[in-house]
Amino acid sequence: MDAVLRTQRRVACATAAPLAVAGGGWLATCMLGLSVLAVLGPFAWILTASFKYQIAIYSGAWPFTPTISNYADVLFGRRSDFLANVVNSLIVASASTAVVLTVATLAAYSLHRLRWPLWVSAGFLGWTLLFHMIPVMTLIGPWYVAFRALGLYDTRLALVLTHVTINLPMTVWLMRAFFREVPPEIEEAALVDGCRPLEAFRRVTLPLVVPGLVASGILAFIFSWNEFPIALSLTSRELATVPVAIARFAQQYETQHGQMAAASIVATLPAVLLMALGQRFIVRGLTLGAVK
Amino acid sequence: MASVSIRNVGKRFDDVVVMQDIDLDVEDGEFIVLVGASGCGKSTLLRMIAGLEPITTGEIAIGGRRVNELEPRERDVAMVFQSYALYPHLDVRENMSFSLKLRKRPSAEVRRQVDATAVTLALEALLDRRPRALSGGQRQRVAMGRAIVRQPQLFLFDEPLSNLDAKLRVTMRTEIRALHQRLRATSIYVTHDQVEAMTMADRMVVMNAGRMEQIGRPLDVYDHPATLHVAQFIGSPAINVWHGTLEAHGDGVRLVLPGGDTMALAGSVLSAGTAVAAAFRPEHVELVADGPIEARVEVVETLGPETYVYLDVAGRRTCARVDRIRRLAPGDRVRLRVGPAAIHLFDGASGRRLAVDP
Repeated sequence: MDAVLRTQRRVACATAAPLAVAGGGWLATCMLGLSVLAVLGPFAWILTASFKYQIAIYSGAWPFTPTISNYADVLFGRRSDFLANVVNSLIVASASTAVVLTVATLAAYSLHRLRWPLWVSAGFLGWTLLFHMIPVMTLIGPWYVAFRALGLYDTRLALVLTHVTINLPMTVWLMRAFFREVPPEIEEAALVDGCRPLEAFRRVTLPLVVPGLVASGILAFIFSWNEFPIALSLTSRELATVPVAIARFAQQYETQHGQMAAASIVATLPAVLLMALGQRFIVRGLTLGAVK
Repeated sequence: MASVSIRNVGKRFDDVVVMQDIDLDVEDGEFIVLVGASGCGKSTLLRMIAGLEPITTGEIAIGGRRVNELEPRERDVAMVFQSYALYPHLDVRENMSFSLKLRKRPSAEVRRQVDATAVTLALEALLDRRPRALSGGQRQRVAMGRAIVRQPQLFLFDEPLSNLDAKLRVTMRTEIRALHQRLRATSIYVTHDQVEAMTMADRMVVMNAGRMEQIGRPLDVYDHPATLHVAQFIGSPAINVWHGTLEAHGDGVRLVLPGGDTMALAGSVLSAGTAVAAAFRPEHVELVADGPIEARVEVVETLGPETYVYLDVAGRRTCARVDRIRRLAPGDRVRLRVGPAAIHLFDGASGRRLAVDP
């Protein structure tokens, strides 16, 4: 019931007020259908392609005889490293998410609670925002050179470090917004009740920003999971992450469309799973403070 | 329980002095109310006692122990916040046992103490609820319970009732007072509501602009305000204030008001020519046929037990309390008299009370 109501509200929003009156319902449904098609269409195409033989993909045959050979090839084929790529991606994404959450949470808490002079806090936040706007491509060259010199080229550590760097600004801003939602008296009550400052943070403030941690964590994880240009430039075949591996299905003399589609579908699974689990946190995180 | 001694305490933010010369001795078991308009520094003083706000000068001692350098957790005080500041992620039982667990008390003892406090505050049925599932009054009681369960040396209350509706506020006022009479715990209570101050305090401290204007028992403060500000702050409806000059008259002096009316004053040590503010409470205004001053009725407010009449006295709005049987209507002409003994005189410039009696 609740879900139905929510859908109706979304429909009403999509059509804008005047169209929502009687007679506008079909238009609203059409618009909604179109936008769903735009989002899900390509995905559906990939999904069907992943069950087709290469020849069926080329001929555009419909209906087609479904096969799971693409999945078998990608996951268990002797020439395929795809599972190793998934493991790589999982390690890089998990590690970078853990680091980014730790650093950003402490930074945001410090910025919010400690009485920094304005130039420090404003300078820091301004710089993170500016950094967030720099195109990643401009950083890859310098990073490549730097990591070569440091002996970190083609290591997972290099990827983790870069993903942390890219994710930090948004995570700091997000966590700061969540900390601002926690009334200072709650922490003061904990101090009077007998907590050391660090205990008050751990026992009272941190539990109250768990939704923020979940939201920023999911966003950071998905970014890292999907990130392509850095992973392509800083790793070799052995340490390639999932997006890089998928791209490698398109080679000079042959593009393995079927396997590529199957790998893509497999690659979306973690993101879909995480989104499903944490979407209420994410929506709250992105709109936090917008409506009060 | 313990006494509190505040010596010469002051506070500066950079170069701005926000509080100075605070001297206060709170006796063991006493209920002290700090009262004043918002921004007068009363909450800051309370936070300084709690250790949430550093002090710039002076010394604070709780139970004879200097606490200036101690962190809040080392001062053994409990505080009830205006917003209650309950821990939203913990249920009522966990909220109340939080401090005891931090002190590593055995869990059987924690359970027993929380249960006992819950009975005192009628919270037994709510122990499993989260704060968000409680009403305002229930949250307030949980906040009280969280403080009581610790049996601290000192209770601090920061406007604990101001988020409640008027009716509940009156009930809780009585409950807190009754609780104090049972526990005899030293308490410092901050409020901007002079009615709360009058009804709850053993002694009250009236604060203004970061200073203490007067300390005393409620009725003493009401009857003998030390400054014009205190006189105006305490009492509802507010005290009437007429500005005028003193003039020699017979053996003593009398007050000459702009417009020519005069009022007889008690005492004889005042010097003629001084600009003064004469203040008197509504209950001391007598409407009598042979009163020396003429007035016109502007507004009549009937409250039930009593009626307040707002008068226009040569442009000065003046409030008088009259019996409910008096039938008065706006526009009526009346004559009034104020007994000389009921008039408080304050220096026109400094606002300080002028000694009336020799």
